[in-house]
Amino acid sequence: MVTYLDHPEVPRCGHSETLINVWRQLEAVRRGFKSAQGRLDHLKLFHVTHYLRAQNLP
Amino acid sequence: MPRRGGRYEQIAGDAKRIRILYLEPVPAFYGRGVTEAFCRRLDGWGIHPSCVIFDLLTTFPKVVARVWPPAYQQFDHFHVMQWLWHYLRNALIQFRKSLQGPRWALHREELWELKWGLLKQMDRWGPKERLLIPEMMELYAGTVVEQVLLFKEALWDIFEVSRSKADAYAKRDALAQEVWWRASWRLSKSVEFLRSPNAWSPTSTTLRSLGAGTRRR
Repeated sequence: MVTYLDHPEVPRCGHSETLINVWRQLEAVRRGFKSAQGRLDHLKLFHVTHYLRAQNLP
Repeated sequence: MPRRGGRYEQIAGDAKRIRILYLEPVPAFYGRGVTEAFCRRLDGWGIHPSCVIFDLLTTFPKVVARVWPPAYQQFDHFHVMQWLWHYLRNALIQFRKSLQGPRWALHREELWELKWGLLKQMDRWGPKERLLIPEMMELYAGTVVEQVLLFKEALWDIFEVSRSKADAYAKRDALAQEVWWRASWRLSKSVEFLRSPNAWSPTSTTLRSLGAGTRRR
């Protein structure tokens, strides 16, 4: 509960609610996913378009 | 991830960059080992975190200790505060409901209006709260309202002002020794949660005694 006090490099929040919110917004736009595989495929696309593009990866 | 539409999902994210790493639906008839399999999959992909932050689900500390033994463990501060504050908020609501009759009508309204102010750290009070809450406290001296106000400040002190774990432990133990909060069941539950050894060092003892997070996966 207070590991962050002794270890400054440890963040005290995981921002899980933010991540859930991001994912729910994606789901809402698509009105859900038909299959688990479709969900994973979309996550991969999300990685490419949002996270990897910023790093100028091919 | 919380249930919505009758299903659960497990989500792994990067806390520092706030990025979603992986997402997996939990099987409808999940049993033991689902969370561990999820962590092992991440481990197999070469994800070896130095620290794992999780919500109050009791499974995580055990699983993380097995899969990533050297990783620090930290209960998500948001969830800890959410859990503690739900006790404080409910204590205020219950007290407000107990104020029956036309004589208390205005006071009930005032309490309703200022309930978030009461639960806010004193340093962050706005001008309205600075003006009204001290006046209100004269009326509610010795009641749950005053106890909640004091208790909340003690919690802020533990989580925000403490300089080290030992300091936080000492403050928590000092609070637990006090008697003024014992009359309120909800404040007692909060202290019980704070004193739970698992909540402070997740892997130390049995997890079933943890006040929060009774869900198992």
